[in-house]
Amino acid sequence: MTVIASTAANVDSDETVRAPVAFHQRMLKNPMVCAGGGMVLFLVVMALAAPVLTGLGFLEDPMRQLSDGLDADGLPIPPGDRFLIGTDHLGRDMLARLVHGTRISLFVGIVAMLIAVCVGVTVGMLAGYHGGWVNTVLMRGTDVMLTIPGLLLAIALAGLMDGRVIHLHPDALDWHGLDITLKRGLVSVFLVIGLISWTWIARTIRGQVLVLKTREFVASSQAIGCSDVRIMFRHLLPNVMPLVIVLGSLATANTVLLDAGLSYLGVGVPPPTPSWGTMIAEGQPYFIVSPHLTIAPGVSIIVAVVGFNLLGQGLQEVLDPYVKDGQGK
Amino acid sequence: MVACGSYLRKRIYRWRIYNVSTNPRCGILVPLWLAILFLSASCGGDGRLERLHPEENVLRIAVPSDPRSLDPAIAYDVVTWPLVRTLFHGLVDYDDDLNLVPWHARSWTISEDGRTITFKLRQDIRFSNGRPITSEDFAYSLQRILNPAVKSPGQGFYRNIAGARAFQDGSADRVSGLRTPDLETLEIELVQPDLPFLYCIAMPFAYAVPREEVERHGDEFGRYPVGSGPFTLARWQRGTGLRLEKNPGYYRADDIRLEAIDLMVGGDETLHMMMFERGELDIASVTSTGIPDADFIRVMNDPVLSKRVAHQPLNAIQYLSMNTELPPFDNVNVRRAVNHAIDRKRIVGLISDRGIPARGVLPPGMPGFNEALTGYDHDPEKARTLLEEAGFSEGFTTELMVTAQSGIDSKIGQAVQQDLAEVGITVEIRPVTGPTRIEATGRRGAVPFATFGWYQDYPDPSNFLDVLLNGNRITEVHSTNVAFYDNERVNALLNEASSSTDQGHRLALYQEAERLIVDDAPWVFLYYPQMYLLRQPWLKGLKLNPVWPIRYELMWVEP
Amino acid sequence: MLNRILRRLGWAVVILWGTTVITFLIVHAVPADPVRVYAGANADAETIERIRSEMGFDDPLVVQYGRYIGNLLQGDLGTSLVTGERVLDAILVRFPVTFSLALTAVFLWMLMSVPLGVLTAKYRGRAIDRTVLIVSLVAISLPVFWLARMLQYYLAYRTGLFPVGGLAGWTHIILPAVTLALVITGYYARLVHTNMVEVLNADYVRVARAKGIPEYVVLFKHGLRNAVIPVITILGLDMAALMGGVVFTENVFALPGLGVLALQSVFNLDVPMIMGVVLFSAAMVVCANIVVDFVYMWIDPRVEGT
Repeated sequence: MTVIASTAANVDSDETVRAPVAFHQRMLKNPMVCAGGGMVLFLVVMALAAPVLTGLGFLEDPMRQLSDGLDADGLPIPPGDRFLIGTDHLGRDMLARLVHGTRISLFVGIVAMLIAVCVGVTVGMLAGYHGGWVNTVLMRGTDVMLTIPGLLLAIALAGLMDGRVIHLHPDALDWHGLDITLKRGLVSVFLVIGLISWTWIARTIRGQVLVLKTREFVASSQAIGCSDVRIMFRHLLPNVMPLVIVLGSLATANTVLLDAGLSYLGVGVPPPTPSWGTMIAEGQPYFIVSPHLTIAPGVSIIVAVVGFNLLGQGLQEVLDPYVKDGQGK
Repeated sequence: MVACGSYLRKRIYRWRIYNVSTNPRCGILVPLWLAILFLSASCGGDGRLERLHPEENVLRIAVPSDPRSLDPAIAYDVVTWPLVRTLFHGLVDYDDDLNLVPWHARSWTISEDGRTITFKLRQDIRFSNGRPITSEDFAYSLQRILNPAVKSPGQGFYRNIAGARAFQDGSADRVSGLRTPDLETLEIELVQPDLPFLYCIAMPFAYAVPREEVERHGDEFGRYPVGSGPFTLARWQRGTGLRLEKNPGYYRADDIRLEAIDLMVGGDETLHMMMFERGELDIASVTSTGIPDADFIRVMNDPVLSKRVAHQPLNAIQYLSMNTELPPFDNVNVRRAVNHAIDRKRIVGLISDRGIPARGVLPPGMPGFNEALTGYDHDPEKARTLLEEAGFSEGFTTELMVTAQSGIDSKIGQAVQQDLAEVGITVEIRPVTGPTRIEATGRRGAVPFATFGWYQDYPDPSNFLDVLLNGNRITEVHSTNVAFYDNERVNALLNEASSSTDQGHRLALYQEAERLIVDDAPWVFLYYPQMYLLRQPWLKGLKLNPVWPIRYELMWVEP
Repeated sequence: MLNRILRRLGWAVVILWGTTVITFLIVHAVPADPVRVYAGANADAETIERIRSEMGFDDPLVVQYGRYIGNLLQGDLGTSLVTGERVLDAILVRFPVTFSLALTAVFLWMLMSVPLGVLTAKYRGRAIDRTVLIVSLVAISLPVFWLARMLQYYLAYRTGLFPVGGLAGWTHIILPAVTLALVITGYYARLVHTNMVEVLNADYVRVARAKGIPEYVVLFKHGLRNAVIPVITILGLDMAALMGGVVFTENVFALPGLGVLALQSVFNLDVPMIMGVVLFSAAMVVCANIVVDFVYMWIDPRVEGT
């Protein structure tokens, strides 16, 4: 959903001379990894802790429209002692909604990223390793996907998936018990986001595989008769793994933004499930009287996306995953 | 209506928001709050008093989505009717006290038995294509509504015309009760006496349309309307806007002071409110709410804005319709349970108390309003018992259709969702655009559960009870009885009431019917809304009236 | 040169064909009843039958696809299920809005990012470089719709510098375009920066400096020209993503463009309209890429030989 799809790989850092220090030390020394990692860790802890906190009574139920959640005029309550960051237009506790929203956003973001990475890595490796017509078909397909505006495709898919029935049985038989009705919800959202986010990963992975293919270890594996599958998974995959980690982190930034965007437009996870995008959409009419309804979820999205972006950039510096032609590591 | 203390309290809260830097728990927000504080402080300029519109004497208003159609036979919503009124005109109209007065008809007489109405028409009015209007045009327009092919949502109002049913089932090629002895006389013969029928003649459905233009455009007439009103449609770009320009050939053109009406299509009510406050719009919102919920208290507390508010109690009701033909709502106990499960007080609170919790169908301003009705109180325990009786002790799942991007509907939807979840009913909210919602809910067997607002077309209980709840009004498409509620006893009472000429007797029958309806609970009766219109000080000629809250042709702009 | 142009055009046709396959699949790939999808959840039996016969949904998929392509080649994208207007007409009416918004945005961000990139490359590692780095990272992480609302509130509603929304003249395009540009500028400044740093370390720049050519000539003549070339390629690739940003800004500012049309059609389940908008936008991205390619050839004549 960002206006930029080409985040990966293009903004590279200024080349720095690195002392041969231990890997984890380099990680910890990198300010971007620390900052980004910290933000991501914070959000993950929040997401995991949310149900526990609610269960123990530290947080309100995020879906509960509280009887004391609105003031005498029916307006949201501003941040204060009773509600740390106020309540929303229906009298639900904003803090609870934000924390639980973290769950939804991270869950959708990470699952969608995993889908995107799986598809992207598979396509990229196959295309890069096989070359020839496999490469042509896969890469042309990728180009087509890159040409179709992803967000439009996503809202079209998300909108049309709603209420669609998949028959798992032959038409002649009448086993409607096996029908799956697709509903607007978590599954359709992360499927849609995953399916439009893999293209950059595929392209980048393919580029790396093309370089790796020229290395001796591939040639020697082929010489001793390893199968293609074995070469791809046992030899190539570990070598592109650092890159996959970097791309995955950057892709999560993107999928989190997309999730927020779809919810904002009203085709994401349906209410009353707390989702940052929906919270902004619902809160913005109140911006003049209760800015916290819009600011707080906005800041949450920014923190999450900046976190994943920083982490990705930092990992890119630390792991240095790009294998350059003709220079060994 | 608005507690005065609350404003002060809000000011204190506001200060506390900005003063968060002392609160370590909000530390992460500090830079942002500071930036906002800076911005708010640095832009104190208030440009609200200046009109930002390039053209003088052009009314600029905005609506969220395109009107479905400007064809008077099709249009049937609060936003489109005032527009239809600027393009077409009819036989009779209301004065400020809701009495019927001549318009195109110079005079009319009702026969002794109450079954024949004779209109004498003016001869000096022309369609904007230049052709003079005769009684035949009115007869054609009325017959067109009854034509099943036109699928007019208003056909139910005119079935009482003699020969209407024969015409509708195809056994006659014209409506025998519509007669034009000469070009200035229109006779309407009714099957049975009908006191509110003249009100029906005052509805936009009965406005005159030119046959030749209707035949030329066919289904597209609603897109290219040609009428005889004070304005003509100059441009309609779907999704962008409409422009109506003054009709120089209008018979009272000298009284019309606006040059044009510019209607922007798109954006939500929040955006329209902001545009209004910047002087880009002349009326904040011409939809039913008038002022967005979020801004209502602020507007009423604002010394400048509150002076521009016009208030009108409407004869209106906000309700949820339950399709009585679709399970599980075909079970009366389920419907009663839903009514008991919902907390009306809280819902009214969500809209800053701009409404009265409903106990029945008829709003307090309507003749026949029954003070004694008790309605359904908020009683989740009873709701659960009723559900068990109905065999739904496990609850059920249903889908509530609401208008997309409508603040009110989203609020009602989620409030209902929570209230019903309490008694074990899972509600999924399905947002669709306004016109689609009207289309879908009017179709038989399509939508189980939907939010609705009904605004009176004319000041008579038949407009609520007959139109929305008479089983004889059910049609396959464009049904106005969206609950598809069909109770023999109620139908009989309503039919008797509509043919009675004794107003006292009629009202008693209506009250009896309403009692039965409330007992059958085809709707969730939510609340009776109030209208607050917010307009600019330079907009003159605003005359609110419970039937016609907005009449563009009376307005003008005086900078 | 001609050869290359022809190859690019042929390539564009292949891509466009691919997008037709994908839009076709949106409706037909899931083994459900496509008529129901087409007609919407609430269609009555009559509508469903009409659509079934009109669209020929009983034919084999290949035949249906062939018909779809055939109609497409005649410029027929179908008719809207909701308003009854021709899909292509509806799109063409809205296209100028989206186009001017996108073009203004591209113009604005190139205008801002190139000088910023050059500046940060020149003062590499200094405060300004660091600031731009951080700001660009935050900017690209901003949800466009959120930023749009904020700018709308502060720059339009509070101060009246810009119109709040709607479309009543070219001034209404500026703030939406600025929103898009703000998100992207920092990122493009980094792109220019990275390329600039590389170019400034190249031998020919050192030679130029050694010859005593004034610094601004070195920066802008030798450096920038070469640094911008890769940026332009990326620009072509980002066109599709830009459409995404356009959907948000149009909806926030109520600009009657393709983004608003797409969202409305989704809410109306107006399948032909949705498919039309997706297909048309893809075609526009392809066109934009061709234009970018020509610009590329014009800036970097070396490409001709390869």
